[in-house]
Amino acid sequence: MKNGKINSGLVLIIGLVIVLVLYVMSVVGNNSINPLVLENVEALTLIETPDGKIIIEDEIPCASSANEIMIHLSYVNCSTCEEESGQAKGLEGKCTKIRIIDPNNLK
Amino acid sequence: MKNLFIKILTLVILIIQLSCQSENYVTSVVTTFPMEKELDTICSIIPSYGEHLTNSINVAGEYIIGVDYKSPFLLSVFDNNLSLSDTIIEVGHGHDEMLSAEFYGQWDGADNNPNIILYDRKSKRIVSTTVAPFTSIKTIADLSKTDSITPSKVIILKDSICIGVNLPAGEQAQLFKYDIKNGNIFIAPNLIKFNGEDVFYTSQYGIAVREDEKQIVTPYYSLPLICFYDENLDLIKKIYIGTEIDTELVSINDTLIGFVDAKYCGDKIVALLIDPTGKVLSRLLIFDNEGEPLGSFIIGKSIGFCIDISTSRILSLEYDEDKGIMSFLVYPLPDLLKP
Repeated sequence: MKNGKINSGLVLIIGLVIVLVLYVMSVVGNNSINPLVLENVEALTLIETPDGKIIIEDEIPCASSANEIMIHLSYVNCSTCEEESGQAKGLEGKCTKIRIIDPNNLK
Repeated sequence: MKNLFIKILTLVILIIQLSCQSENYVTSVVTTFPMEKELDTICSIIPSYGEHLTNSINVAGEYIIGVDYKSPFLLSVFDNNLSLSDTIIEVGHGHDEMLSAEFYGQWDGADNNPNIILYDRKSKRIVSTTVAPFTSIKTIADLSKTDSITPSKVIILKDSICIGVNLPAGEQAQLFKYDIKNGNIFIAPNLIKFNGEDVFYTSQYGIAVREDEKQIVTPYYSLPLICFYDENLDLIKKIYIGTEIDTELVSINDTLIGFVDAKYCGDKIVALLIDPTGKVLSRLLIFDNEGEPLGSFIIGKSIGFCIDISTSRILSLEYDEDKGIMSFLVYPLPDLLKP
């Protein structure tokens, strides 16, 4: 600021810096692990393997019985710890599930 | 110099706007519909094999396809008169067998010999088969090769793209796109947050895709919420029925009314809302292309439905718990849905 006037050169530099920072952020964002895949994951264990895969260990509430006619719903069966179709009739136990995510597939 | 400054400023604002676009959606609460009435049943039919029917039925050409349970077969095929025509696809690991089958109403081919698309959730395969008669199963996509998604529903689009609901055990449901050709996966951000260790149960929803593939709706099962997305899986609109609910407080022990299913009928959306306690009758809600409410129709205690445009009727399913059998209820097609 000089004599109450805007220093246009300074403004230009600040503008360019902002554009550059936003560009770099978007490029870095595209090349890093997609954070959405880990959204809402409250895992017991989160491990990143040397080849970049992520191992997630979760404890999941499960049900011993389900209303199988409600096929649009899903539940985790306490006997098998597998996801099945049906409406859980109360959650009575917990299953530990491990899954592996390959971030290289995620765009 | 001043012009250059304005251009840079415009560019910066544009970039900021683009980065914030994913949260640019509308929330509305629908308390009344322009048309509200109770539909009178034309007839009620207890079908053969009704003791094996789940709440999933869909039209494919001249046939009604029901998904079965506790049966050696996965699908029941009914003709236009709701007479059982065939039971098809044995449960198993064999060549023309499947471990499970879900049918979301996708089919092509002739009306009298439709080719339907199914999803086998247990083997993570998308397959196609004819139903009249059933001949063989052809695998369209094998999603078992990817560990990064656990689809609970999958619909196949043109250009070998799948769109579906990713529901990994213990986590919140997410929309995803999967490119069959190159294996790329895009998982949409969850702008609607659920909480607690039962998010796997409370966040579940279905999916329906408009014919032009430019709009997607997701009806939530545990609460009266239906969402509209664009083709890029950006959330456009959230619609609550009755009252807005804080999704972060929803628990599996709540007994809120919730959606069972939603289907497109032309460019209108038809969604079935049910009361899990059975105290309030089920309602078929109709929305226009923009998500504006058009009509609400009471249809008994229905827990599943399909729209048969060719015979101008709505078929719904009602379950008799005492007898352990599903029955068809036939309703006239509301004028709102007539082509």
